[in-house]
Amino acid sequence: MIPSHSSPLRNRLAFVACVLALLALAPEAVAHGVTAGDKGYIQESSGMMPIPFMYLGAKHMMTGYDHLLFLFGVIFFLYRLKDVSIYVTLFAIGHIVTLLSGVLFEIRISAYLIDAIIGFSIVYKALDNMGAYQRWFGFQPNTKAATLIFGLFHGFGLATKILEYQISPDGLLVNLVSFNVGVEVGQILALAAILIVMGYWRRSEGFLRHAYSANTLLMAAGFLFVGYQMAGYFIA
Amino acid sequence: MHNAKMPSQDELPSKAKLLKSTVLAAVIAGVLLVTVVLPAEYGVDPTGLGRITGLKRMGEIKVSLAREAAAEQEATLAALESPETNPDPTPDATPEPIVATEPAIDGQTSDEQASESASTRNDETTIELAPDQSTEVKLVMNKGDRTEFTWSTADGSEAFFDLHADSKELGINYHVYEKGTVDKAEGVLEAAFNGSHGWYWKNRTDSVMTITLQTTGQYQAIKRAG
Repeated sequence: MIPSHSSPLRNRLAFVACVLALLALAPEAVAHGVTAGDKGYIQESSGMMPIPFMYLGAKHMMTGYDHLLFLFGVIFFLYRLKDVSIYVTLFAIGHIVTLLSGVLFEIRISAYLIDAIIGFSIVYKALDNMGAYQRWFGFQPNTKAATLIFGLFHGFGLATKILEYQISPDGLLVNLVSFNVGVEVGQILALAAILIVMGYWRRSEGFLRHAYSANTLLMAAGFLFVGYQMAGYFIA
Repeated sequence: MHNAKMPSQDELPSKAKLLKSTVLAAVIAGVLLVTVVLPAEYGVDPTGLGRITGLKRMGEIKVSLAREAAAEQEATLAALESPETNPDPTPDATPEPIVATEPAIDGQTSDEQASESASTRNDETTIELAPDQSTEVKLVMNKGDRTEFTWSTADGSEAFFDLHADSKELGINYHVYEKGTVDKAEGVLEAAFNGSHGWYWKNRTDSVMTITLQTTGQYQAIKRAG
């Protein structure tokens, strides 16, 4: 019986059940199915389309909360624009390498696993900001190296999402590079917004006090990501 | 880092500078919204820049897909709520005749058919697609089977096609051979594995499109879906 007032999840389950029932009734008629959104658009496209793919890359980064949270953690205590540029460039080098090679060599890793690692990168950075490693191990791991290495994992996450889009092989290289350019543009835009907000915040009285709590929240968000993705890995 | 020295108020950006940055950021966001995001997501293009960049087309396609997905969902639920009618899996499709020189209906599953030996067949299939309508025509083939094909639109308009394959038995959901937007195509389709190989066509033009497909080669059956 179709529920009339149901939560979005129940609607979705009902829809899936209906589709399966219909498929059972008509064994030969498996329709192509409608995929909406960016994925649907990409599946209908082929050939070189640099600007649309630049847009998709920028959108991907600006709505990629896991990537943005990590970046936020990285720049949290970087006060000079020069330092921000260095660290963001290291992060970019990391994710560009794996984004391009991941797609071109079709390196397929479970999206859940890689997203869980990205979640862990957020936890790592938050703890680093809180001085945990010095406290616990008496040792400060190289922050530049950590940014670069985690950048590699973030890039694999991007590559996995792109492989799921099933981009046409026709024009792939141009589209992929355009997508990457878009990712960097999106990153710059998001960073600008973050830095402006940080600019106001750092001038306030309680910044250093609140900084600790903020990084605790960041760490909680990271753990949430990890849990959510690991659950998906085992359940889905 | 936590061990970095906290700069003094003088070393941090001044309030005036922050305010200017905020205003600038808001202006940039507004410009991007109107020139990039609205066209790319909704096909709304007040400045005309979206048409030049191709982003308006992206938005139009996305809006159309969203509408089709919603319609498909509604129609599926409606079909189940009235069990006396015969549910159509893609209710937006009007029934299309297949003009075939040999009849193509088989009772077996496609993978059972594929395991029999291949026979040489010759079929002509004609399809009519309303604007935004799509369909699939697939050939059941064994690995290595070859089929010569040629298809074209009646009036030279361009159809989006996705020449691909799948196999329930082998668990292959989607294997692409080629896709594009053209008015005609011809070639030889060689099956990469036992399964169903063929075309998904979508009419993205504003008028009804007629596609004629000719297939000559080794396949057990030709089937139409959607």
